Amino acid sequence: MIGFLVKAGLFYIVWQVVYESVIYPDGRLDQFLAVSVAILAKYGLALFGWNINVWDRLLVIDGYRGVEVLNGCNALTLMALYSGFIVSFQGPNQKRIKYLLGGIGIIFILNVIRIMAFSLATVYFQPHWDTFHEFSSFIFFYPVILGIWYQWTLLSEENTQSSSELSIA
Amino acid sequence: MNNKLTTLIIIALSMLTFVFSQGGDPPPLPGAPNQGPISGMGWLAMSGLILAAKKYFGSHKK
Repeated sequence: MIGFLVKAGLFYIVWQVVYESVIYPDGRLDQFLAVSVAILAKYGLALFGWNINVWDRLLVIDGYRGVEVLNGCNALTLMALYSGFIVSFQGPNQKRIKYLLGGIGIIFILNVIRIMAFSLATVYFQPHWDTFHEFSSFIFFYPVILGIWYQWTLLSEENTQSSSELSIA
Repeated sequence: MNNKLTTLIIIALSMLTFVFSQGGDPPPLPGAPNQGPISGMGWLAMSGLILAAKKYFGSHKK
């Protein structure tokens, strides 16, 4: 447990330093995530017949308040938080890479769906938009992330058991 | 493997095309745009910590 805490703590310190000193000043990763999420949300909604305009990070349905995907909305920090657990909790290394890449991809897709929902919220319940936004992470992200983390702990448990059986044999 | 890599590269490039193909200025909006930073990450971190502790102490009880 101490090992997990130390690894996780180190991971987040390194992440914070790298983000503040390299990624944030450079801006390209944040910009790419925000703009790609906005554009994919636009195309996602187009599948359901919605005509949405996108300017850089801004999504607008004609006649309604838009949704702006800021750096804090692009899920990069959430991807780091997710990765921190997978990296720090013991488990098989080959599967760790699959869980890392798969999980980050899932978070990206969930964020596109979340931004799509935000755009529709400007049409159907703008007065309650802030409340919807406040709880959106608990609806879209956290159950899925906790589910994957739980799966990862099960996998790590199986791995530990099978390796101890092997060592007994 | 090569096929998967090619597919991934094509998807990434087509996404970049979408990203760089946008232009112009937005029209005047009826109000300031909504902004949706992700909230409650402390709760998620706390839940992860509890999950790890539960697994760790649970497996050491057996």
